[in-house]
Amino acid sequence: MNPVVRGLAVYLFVYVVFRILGKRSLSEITTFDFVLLVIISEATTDALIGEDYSLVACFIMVCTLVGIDYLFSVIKNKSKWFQVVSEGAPLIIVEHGKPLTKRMKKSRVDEEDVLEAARETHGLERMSQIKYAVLERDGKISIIPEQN
Amino acid sequence: MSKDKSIERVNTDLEIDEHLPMQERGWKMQTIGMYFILAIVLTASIGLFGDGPMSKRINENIATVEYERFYRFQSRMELKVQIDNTNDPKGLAVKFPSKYLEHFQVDSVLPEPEKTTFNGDHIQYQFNGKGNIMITFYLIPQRIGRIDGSIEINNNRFVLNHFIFP
Repeated sequence: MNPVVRGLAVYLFVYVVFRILGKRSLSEITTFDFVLLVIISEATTDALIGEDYSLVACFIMVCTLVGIDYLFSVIKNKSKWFQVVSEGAPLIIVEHGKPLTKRMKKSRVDEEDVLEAARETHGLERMSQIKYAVLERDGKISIIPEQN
Repeated sequence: MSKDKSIERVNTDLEIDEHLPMQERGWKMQTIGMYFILAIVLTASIGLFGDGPMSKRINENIATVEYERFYRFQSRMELKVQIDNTNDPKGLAVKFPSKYLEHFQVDSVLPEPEKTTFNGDHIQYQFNGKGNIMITFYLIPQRIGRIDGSIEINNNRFVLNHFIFP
């Protein structure tokens, strides 16, 4: 199979799978997520290489993957719609100390995740000290503390 | 009273664009996508892509030929031939048409044949022995898509139909 077709197919498939999985899995929060990422990278290696161990095949594969990445970034810059579809959008999940439970459930985030981010980034002790918690596009939770 | 399933709306002074309608559509697509992934896992486990009851085919005549109806490109698959040769001193002759073998690489044959002959339009493997003989051919598909062919065992034809996934 043509290495360009192989590279394109694997890149798109893994991309779609991670979009289905959701933002949180990308941030390697738990051991499960970490193991999943490591194993997926191993599983895709053979599909990318096949039986072709030549230097040229490797160069073609790298160029294909880099090329697709560049093309996507160009399209994202030109199209807000494509940017939101491909990367998602930030989502407020805590407002003035109150967890927005339906949003959290949809995003598969729980209060413990928010409190962990609050402790790590600002040393906050409780939910009431959080003005806003935002689930960012990359799966990380950013915390804006209350003024006092 | 029905439960309000819509997600919370937020009035905020934060400079943030949540694109909520798209996010809600995205969540629906995630759910559908997850069901699709689970369907792939289920069908793969029963052999839709090979190595399972859905893929195994058995043709019986003077011999039994067991092969994979569905398989994967460049993966080693088994084609088994079993025959009770007690009353036939000629042994077992398995003929593969060249047209069929164009789409496969013969990785190995167990046990090894006594003789392999090539004749223009077919390759013949000769096995000598008596009693219940089981031969396994290990084939590697070299083409994606539908492959229809046949083999001959002691001049009896067995049809083989494969679909090879990429």
